[in-house]
Amino acid sequence: MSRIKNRFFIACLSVALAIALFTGVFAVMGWGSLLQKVGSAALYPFQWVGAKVGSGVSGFFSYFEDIDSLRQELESLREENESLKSELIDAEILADENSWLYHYLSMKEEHGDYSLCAASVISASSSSGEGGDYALSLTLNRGTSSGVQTGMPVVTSSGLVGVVVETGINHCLVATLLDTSVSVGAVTTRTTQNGLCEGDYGNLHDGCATLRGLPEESDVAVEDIVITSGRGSVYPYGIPIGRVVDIRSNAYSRTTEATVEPFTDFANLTQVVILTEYIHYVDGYENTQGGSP
Amino acid sequence: MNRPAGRRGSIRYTAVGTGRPVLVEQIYLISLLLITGIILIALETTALSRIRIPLFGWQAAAPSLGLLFSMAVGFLHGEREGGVTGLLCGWLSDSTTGEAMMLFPLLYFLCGYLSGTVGKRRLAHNLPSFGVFAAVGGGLKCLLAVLSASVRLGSLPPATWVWRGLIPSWILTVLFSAVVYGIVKGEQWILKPKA
Repeated sequence: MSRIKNRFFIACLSVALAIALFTGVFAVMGWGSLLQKVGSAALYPFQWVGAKVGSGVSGFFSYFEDIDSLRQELESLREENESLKSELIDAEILADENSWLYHYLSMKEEHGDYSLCAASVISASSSSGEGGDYALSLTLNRGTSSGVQTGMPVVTSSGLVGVVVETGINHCLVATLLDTSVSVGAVTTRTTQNGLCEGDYGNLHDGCATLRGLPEESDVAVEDIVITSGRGSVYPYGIPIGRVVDIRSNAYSRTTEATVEPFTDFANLTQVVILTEYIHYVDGYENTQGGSP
Repeated sequence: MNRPAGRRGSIRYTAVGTGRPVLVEQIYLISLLLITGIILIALETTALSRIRIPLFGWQAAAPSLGLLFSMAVGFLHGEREGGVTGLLCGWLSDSTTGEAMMLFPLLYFLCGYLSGTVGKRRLAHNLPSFGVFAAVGGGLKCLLAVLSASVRLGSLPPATWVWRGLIPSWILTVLFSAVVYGIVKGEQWILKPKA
């Protein structure tokens, strides 16, 4: 048994030595080793699979190897994100301001006869409704020091807001169109029928006003546009008020009433314009020259 | 278990319980060992060649799975099987390195054969004992690499190369000895006759 084992050992050892010797000699002679080529060819398919598996595993573990750099990157990205958020807020504010100034400029160009005073809303007294909180009164950052007086109309580029009812040195209080104490002489553009546009408790939760005093046989219709008529010497002629959304008859006063949805968004008012001076027209005809409210 | 005396760890007894001829059992064993060896060497030279140990400068090192496999086969199956496996695995390993002189068949054969003979006579057949063999075999391979490099360079190789290249490889070889031992043990269990 021992002899067999020794024979086996000697045979294998001889083979191993022969492999080493011949490959070495062939390499010195400049011939590539056939044995190596055969071995490589046999291994190649398995190595190909192994390389695929290895690259997948390596990709997985490289995540953990790079964890420190990823953490640092995450931290810097967070800081950048905060900074960008702040810049975005600034940009939004600037965009709002830009939009407002654009409308303000448009108003000045459109109404050369108006003297305008831009103002910001400091605070608002609101009534909650389905579409949000509708402002009933506004406090603006302009007062008598800016030439603001009681009774001056307040508008936006969209339409009428209300009227100044109280002034301080550097602030003023505005009652909006939705306030029940405000009445605006109004006219429908299509039928030229006059009425009074007022705040109404019944329509307050919808953010709407009511146009009263229309003749019983009035042919006012839904979608008719309502503007200021200039009657009453407070509001200049032609300021858009809103659009008729509903019509009903008042049997007691024998008149027609219309619900008017204002063009001004009373839920999101931030910038307004006070009309400090304007040429007064009534129903499109000049009434006083260089008048003021 | 019907194990013939004096052949502990050899596959010859497996034919007794299965009823299959010894030759068939040998063919099963050789096929299984050959496929496992090829897969392990393919893994050693591809997927596992990118392992990095932080202490050693993140340089990639690979465990000598072919060497471990040869030694494990010798340790668990017998010196003949270990020797032949070592010869084949050494040949395949050297085929991938592109070395001018193929010395791995010689080294792997000696390690596989000696782990069979020494392990059978001197040590208990368990994992810690095999770990000792793996450490010695890995060390011999490192020594062979140093000698080869010295012959090529005409002087001793740089210490950095030994520290960052060979020692991580030796550590990985020792660590992976448990895995390879488990694989060969599992194969032995597969081929073992079931009651």
